[in-house]
Amino acid sequence: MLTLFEQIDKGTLWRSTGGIHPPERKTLSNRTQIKSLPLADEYVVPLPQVGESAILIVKPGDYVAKGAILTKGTNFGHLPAHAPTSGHVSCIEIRPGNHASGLAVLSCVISADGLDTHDAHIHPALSTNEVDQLTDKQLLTKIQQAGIAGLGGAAFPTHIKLSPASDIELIIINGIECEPYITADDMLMREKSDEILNGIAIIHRLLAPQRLIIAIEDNKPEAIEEMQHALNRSSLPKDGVRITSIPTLYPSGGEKQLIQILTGQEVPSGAIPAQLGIVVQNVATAYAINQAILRDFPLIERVVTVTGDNTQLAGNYWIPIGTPISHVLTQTQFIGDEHDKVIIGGPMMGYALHNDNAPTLKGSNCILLPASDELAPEQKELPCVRCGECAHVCPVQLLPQQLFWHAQAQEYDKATKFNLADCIECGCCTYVCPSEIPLVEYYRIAKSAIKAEAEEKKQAELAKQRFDLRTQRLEDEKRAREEKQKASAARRKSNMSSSDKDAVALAMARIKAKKAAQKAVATQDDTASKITSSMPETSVPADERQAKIAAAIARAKAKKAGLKQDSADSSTGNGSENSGSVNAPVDDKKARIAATIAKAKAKAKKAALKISTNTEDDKD
Amino acid sequence: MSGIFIAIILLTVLALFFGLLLGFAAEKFKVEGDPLVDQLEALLPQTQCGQCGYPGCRPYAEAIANGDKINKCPPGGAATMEKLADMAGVDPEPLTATEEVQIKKVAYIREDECIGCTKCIQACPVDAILGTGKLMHTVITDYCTGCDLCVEPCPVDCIDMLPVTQNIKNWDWKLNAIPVKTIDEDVKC
Amino acid sequence: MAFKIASSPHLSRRFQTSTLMQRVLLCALPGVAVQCYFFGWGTIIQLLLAICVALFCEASVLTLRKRPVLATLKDNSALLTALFIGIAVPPLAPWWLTFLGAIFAIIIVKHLYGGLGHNIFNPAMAAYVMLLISFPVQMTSWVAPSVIAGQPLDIFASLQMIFIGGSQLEISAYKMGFDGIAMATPLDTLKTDLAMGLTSTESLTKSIFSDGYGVGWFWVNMAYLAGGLAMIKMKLIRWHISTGLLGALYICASIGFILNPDTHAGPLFHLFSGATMLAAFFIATDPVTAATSVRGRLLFGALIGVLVYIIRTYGGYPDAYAFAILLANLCAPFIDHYMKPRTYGHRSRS
Repeated sequence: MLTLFEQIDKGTLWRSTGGIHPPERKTLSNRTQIKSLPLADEYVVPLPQVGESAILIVKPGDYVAKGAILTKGTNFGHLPAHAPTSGHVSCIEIRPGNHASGLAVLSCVISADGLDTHDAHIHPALSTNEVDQLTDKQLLTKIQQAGIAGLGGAAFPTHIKLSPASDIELIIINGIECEPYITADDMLMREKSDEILNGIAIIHRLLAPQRLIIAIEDNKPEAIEEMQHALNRSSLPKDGVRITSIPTLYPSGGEKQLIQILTGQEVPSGAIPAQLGIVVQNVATAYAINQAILRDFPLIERVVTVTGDNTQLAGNYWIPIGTPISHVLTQTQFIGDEHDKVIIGGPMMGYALHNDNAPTLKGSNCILLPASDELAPEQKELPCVRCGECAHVCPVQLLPQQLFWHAQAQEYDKATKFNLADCIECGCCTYVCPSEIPLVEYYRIAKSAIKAEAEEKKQAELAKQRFDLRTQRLEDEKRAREEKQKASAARRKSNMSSSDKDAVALAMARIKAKKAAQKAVATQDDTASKITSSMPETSVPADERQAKIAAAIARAKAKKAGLKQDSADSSTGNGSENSGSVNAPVDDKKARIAATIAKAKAKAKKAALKISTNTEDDKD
Repeated sequence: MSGIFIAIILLTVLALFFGLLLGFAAEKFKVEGDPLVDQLEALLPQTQCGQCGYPGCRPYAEAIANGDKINKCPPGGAATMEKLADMAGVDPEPLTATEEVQIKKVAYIREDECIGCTKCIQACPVDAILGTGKLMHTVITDYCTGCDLCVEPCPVDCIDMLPVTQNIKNWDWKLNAIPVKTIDEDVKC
Repeated sequence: MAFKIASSPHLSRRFQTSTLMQRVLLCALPGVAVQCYFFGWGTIIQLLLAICVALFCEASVLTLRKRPVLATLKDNSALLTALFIGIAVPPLAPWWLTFLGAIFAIIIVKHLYGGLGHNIFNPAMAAYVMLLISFPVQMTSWVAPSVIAGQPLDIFASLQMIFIGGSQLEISAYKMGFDGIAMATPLDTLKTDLAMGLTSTESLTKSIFSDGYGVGWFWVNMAYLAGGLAMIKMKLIRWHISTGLLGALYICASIGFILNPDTHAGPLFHLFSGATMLAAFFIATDPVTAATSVRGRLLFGALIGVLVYIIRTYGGYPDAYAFAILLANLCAPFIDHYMKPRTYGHRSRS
C-alpha cells in the first residue's frame, strides 16, 4: 500500500465524478503573444470594502501615481485598492459594477494623465538573496499591501490563504484553466514561466509543504513544456515538486475537483482545503506574488483573454484593473450590438454584463464576445423528461432534477436537504439538459432566497433579543423608581415627626407646586406625547429654538390630525380612545395642579405636607 | 351469579391497571412547557410592532395558542399567516389589515429636522434608535425591524420608512428583474 | 451600451429531447423491420394506425390544455409511444385494439397525469396491460412466423384481417393449431406445455422452437439488442437499466434451470424470447418513468428482471414485461429516494 505522497510522486490520478467536454475554442486567442492596450481616458476602481472595514485616503482632485494605495483598512482581511495608472482622482461616486446584477457600487474614478508614472514605492527587482533575507511576516505584508487576491475567479485575499492555522502538506498550483475559450493562464505560463516559478518558490517557502504539484490540463502542451523548463531552472527542490498533466475535462479546474483528481480526497462539505492540509493557488496569483515581493508592484494589471467571434482582435492583453470594459471593446474592435452578450469569464460560469461602463476586476480573466449564433441560442424551456443526464455529469454528485423541482416549487428546505449548498454552479447540468432548462439559474435564485431567509431569521432573533432586553430594562427601571419613591416616602415620614422640619417641607411643597404649574403651561402644547408615553416629560424646549420647533410641531400635528380624521371612520374604537386620552389627562392634571396651588396657599401645615407628597408621587 | 361478579372484578382490575398505565405514561412522557407557543413565536416576524393588538410577538403567539385569530400580523404577510394556520391547525383567513406589497422597510430619521425629543426612542421596541435629549437621533438600520412605531410619536414628523435597497450582497439573482436600459447614451462604443 | 443578459452557462450541448427521441426511433427500426419480415404486413399496419391515433390524440389534448401543439408534437414522444404500442399488439389484431390502446396511452396515462415528464407509468405499457386484461383472446393470438406458416398474408389480406376481421371462430381455431396464420407465442406455448405436464426439453422440440429460441423471435430480439447497443454507444441511454434487467433475468433463469431443468427454460431462452430485448433497451429505459440515479437504475432494471422471471415462471401470463415495468414504475420514486448518490464532501447520505 503506497502512501498518498508516494502515489503523488508516481503521478497517480484519481477519477473525479461527472464532468463534460464542451468545445474548447481556445485557439481563437492563444495564437498570439500577450499584448497591451493603449491607456483609457479614465479608470474606475471599485471600493467594496470602503464603508465597512476600510477608509479612503484620497479625495477628488488628488494626484495619484500608478500603483498608489487608495484605501486603508485595519482588519486582517483588508486588501488595499491601488491606482491602475497615474492621474487625478476625478470623483468618488456610485458607478455601474462588474457584477451579474449590474448594481452600482462605490468607485474611485481616476482620469489618466497618460504618463503612467510609477509610484515611488515600486522599486527595481530585488535579488534572490535580498528576498531570502525577508521574514515571513514581511513577505505576507508585502503580499497584502499589493492587494493580491486569488486570480482564479473567487478573488479571496491571498495573504489569508498563505497564513493558515494548520500545517500545509500539499500545495497545488492550478494551471488547469478548464473553461472553454479562456487562455489567459495558458499564455501567462508560456511567457512568464520563470516569474511564476519564482512566485511558487515564495509560496513554497511560506507554507513549507511536503509536496507541491503544478497541475496543467493536457490540452496545453506548450505551457507544460515551458513550465517544466522553468522548473528545472528554478531553485525549488526537485524531488518534492512536480508538474502533473491531467486529462482535459470540465470542470477539473475547480478547487474541489482538482483536489479530488490529484489526491483522491474530498474537501468536506462546508470546509476549506486547508483542513486537509492542502492549499490551492492559481498560476496568475503566483505571478502576482512574484511582482509584489520583488518589486513591490501591486496587483494593478492582469492578463485578460478577449475572445469570441464578435471581436476582430481576439487574444490576450495586459489590462489594468479598473479599465472600463467599453474601452477594451473599442480597442479590440468589437463588432456586436446590443442584441449580443458581453460575458465576463468563460461561457460556462461567466456572467453576461449589461452595462459596458463597468470596469475589469481582479477576478476578470476573460471577456467573451460571442456572435449571436456562436453559443447556444436562447431556447424555450421544455418539460423535464427525467433523463438523468444532469446527475451523470454533476461533478459534486447532486441530483439536479430533484433540486430543480424543489427550487421551482420554492420548497427551499427540501432543496437544502438535497445539498443545494454544495452546488458549485459549474453549469454542467444545464449544458447537457435536453429540455434546455436553465437549472443553474434556478439554483442561484434558490440559494439567494435561502440566504435571505437565514438572514431574516437572524434578524428576527436579534430583534427578539433586543425586545426582551428592553422589556427587562423597563421593568428594572420601574422597580428601581418604585423603590426610590418608597425610600423617600419613608424618609419623609421619619422627618415629619420632628416639627422643626415642617417649615422646610412647606417651602419645598411651594417650590414644587410652582414648578408643576410652570410645567403644566409648557406642556400644554405638547399633548401628543401623553398619548403613548407614560414617562414624564423631561425635555422642555429651549427658548431660542422654540419658534422653529413649534412650527414643525404644528405642521406635524396638522398632518396627524388629518390622518386621524381619516382613520377615525375606519377604526372608530381606536380613534375615539386616542382622542379621549389626548385631553383627559391634561384636564385632570390641570385641575389637580390648581388644587395644589390653592391648598398650598391656605398654609395649613398638615394639608400642605400631604399635598406635597401627592404631588411628588404624581409628578415623579 | 358468580359469573357477574367475576366480570365486574375483572373489569375493575383491568380499569385500574390501564388507569395506572395511562397515569404513568402521562408522567413519564410529559411534554415540557408549551412548545406550540414557541413554534408559533418562531413563525412570527419579531418586528414587535404591536399591530396585532398585543405588546409584542410572544404575547400574540400565546394568544393564538389560546384561540385568537391567526390573521392579525400584517408584517408577516400572507405567507406567515398560512404557516400560522398550519401550525395552529386552523383554516387560513385573509389578513385583517389591507395587504400591501411586502417590501422590507427600515426607519430613517431626517437628521437636520430632528429636535431631539426622545419620543421615538421610547417608542422603539428594539432599542434601535440612538440619541439623547435635545440632540439629534439616528436609527441603527441593522437593528430596525421596520415596525412603524416610531413614526407616530415624532412631533416634527421627520421619520420616514424607506425600503431596503438591493446591493450586491443581498441580490437575489432574478435576472429578469434587471431593467435593461442604456444608462449613458453618449458613450461611444 | 447595454447588452443582453442571461444566466450562465452560455454554452449548451444543443441536443434536445426531440433529437433524442428521434434517434431512439431510428435505433428501433431494425427490430421493427425484422418483426415485419417474420410476421408480415400486419405489424406495419398496426404501427401506422397507432401513430395516427396517438398524434391525433396528442394534438387534441394539447389544444384542450392550451399548450403549444406543433412545438410539443415535435418532441416525438407521442410517436415513440405509438411505436411501442404498434409493435406490442399482435400484428393481425382487430384495429380497435390499437385504436383503444393509443387513446388510452396518450390521453389517460400521459396527459391526465400532466403530460410529458409527469406521467408515472410508461404509457405504452399501461395501454398494453389494459388491452391484455380487457381483451385477452385478441391480445394473445399472435401470428405464426412466415417461416412456419409458409406464404405470409399479403398487404390486402392483412388489411382485411385487421379492419374487417376473420370471424371469432376462425381466430380461435388458428390459435389452437400450428398450421393456421395465427398461433401462440413461443413463451405461451412453453407455458401451456409445462402446464400440460411436458418437460421443457420436450416442449422445445416443437416446430415453433426449431431454432432453439422460438422461430423469428430470436432474430427480432437480436435486432433490438443491436439497436440498444447502438443507443448506448450514442449515449441516448445509459447502460445501467438494461444491464440490471438482463443480468437479473439471466441470474434468476440460471438458478431456476440449475434447480430443475425439466420445468424451467434456460437463461438464454429467457433472454432471447418474448419482448426481452425490446423491453430492456427501449421500454424500461424510458427516462420519465424510471429511476434516475446510477445505483437506482441498476436496481430498477434488476427489479424488472426478477419480476419478469417470476411472472413468466409462476404467473398466469406467458410474458410479463408490461406488468413488471409498471410495477417497477411504481417503485421508481421510492428507489430514487433511497439511492441518492453521496454528494461530494459528505460522509454518507444525509
